[in-house]
Amino acid sequence: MAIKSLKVLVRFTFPDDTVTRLHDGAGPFVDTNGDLWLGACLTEGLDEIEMAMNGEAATLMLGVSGLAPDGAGLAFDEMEDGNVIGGKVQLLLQGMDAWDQPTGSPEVKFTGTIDNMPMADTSTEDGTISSITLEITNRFSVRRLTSGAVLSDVDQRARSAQLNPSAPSDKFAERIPGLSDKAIRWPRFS
Amino acid sequence: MTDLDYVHWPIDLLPAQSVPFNPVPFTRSGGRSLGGIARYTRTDKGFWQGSLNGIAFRRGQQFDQAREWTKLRTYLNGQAGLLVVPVCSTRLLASPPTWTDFSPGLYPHDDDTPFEDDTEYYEGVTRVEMATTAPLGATVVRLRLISAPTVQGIRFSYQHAMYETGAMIEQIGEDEFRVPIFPAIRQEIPADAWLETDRPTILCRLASDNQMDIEFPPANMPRPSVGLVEAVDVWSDLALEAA
Repeated sequence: MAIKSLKVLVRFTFPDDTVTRLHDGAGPFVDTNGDLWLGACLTEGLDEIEMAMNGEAATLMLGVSGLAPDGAGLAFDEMEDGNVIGGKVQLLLQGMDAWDQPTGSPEVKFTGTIDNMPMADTSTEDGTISSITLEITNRFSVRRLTSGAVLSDVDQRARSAQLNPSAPSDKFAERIPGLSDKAIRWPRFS
Repeated sequence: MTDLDYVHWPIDLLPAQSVPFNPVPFTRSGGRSLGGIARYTRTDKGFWQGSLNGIAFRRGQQFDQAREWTKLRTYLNGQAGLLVVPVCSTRLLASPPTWTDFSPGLYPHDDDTPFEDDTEYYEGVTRVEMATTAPLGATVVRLRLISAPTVQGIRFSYQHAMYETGAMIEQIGEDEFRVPIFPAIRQEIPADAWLETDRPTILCRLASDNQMDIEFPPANMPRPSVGLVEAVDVWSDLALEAA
């Protein structure tokens, strides 16, 4: 039997242990544990959520709209107080039965921490839209970054001085600085 | 937030030719493939979207109507204002030849006495009750039919949250029925609560800031329409407050 109905849930656990629960839909929703999930709309990034769930994306841009005005204000206050960055974000899927009632507990599909929270105001002739985007990273995001480390003579000597102070300094990388200027010639055989 | 501020649409003074309200479900899919495969998954029951269509301004009444319009507009002041709209649903209840007249009746107190000034309670003729408590988020409810032709395929409202029922799932006893509803229960409905069935009301916002724009043409009467969207965020806020 194909799944006819499910819910996409987002749970924020802020550094001061306050928990905010949102679901992608209208109106409030109560799960089998009795937790209340507020209706919000995930405006962007659902495709990325899918990737995140499949473990393909390490960073996730999550746009949330429809937050309560005091919620959004709170988010801003907490951002100022440093209570947003480092918060835990979990994306969950809740299976629903034929009558749209939750079955079992929601399954966690993605866990990450909030890295940044840019807010944007877009004014159009239809009105002004204030949106919050969360930049969420998880432990795999570091693997995406290019390592800036280089092997240098100075580092190597410093390291050996730390590890084994009484021994002469490690000269393993002594010739490394010179190598950058070295022209490499391929041998000619003819 | 507890003392919710809203205004009732004066349906008697500003009658609309039709008040269509339709469900907007949340469905997600990956689109249709060349092979014709498309898999749809519902992620939420959804919300109501509707309008007051063809609001009739009459020559004799137009001054009162125009003033009322301005008053409403001043109160609402764009999408932030909350509006309660009655949605006539007697069509869903009518069942000729017995159920044809839904004009509200006048009822005295329990002991057959009227109010001090000889007036009586003004009340719809249909009566449907919630048989057991419907918790927040419920999508199947148990209704008790007291005086109405059916509880299937009808609309009801409780404290300005409107719902409509589907086909009966199960009959319990003589007059109690389990029916699925749209949308999910917005606010808990206690057992034995009376439900408004012939003229349910819905809490909404204007669909855009300029929905109350009106123009009086030189020779004719205007016939404006107002687009509306259910104010679902209010129910979220109330739920959060109660939690």
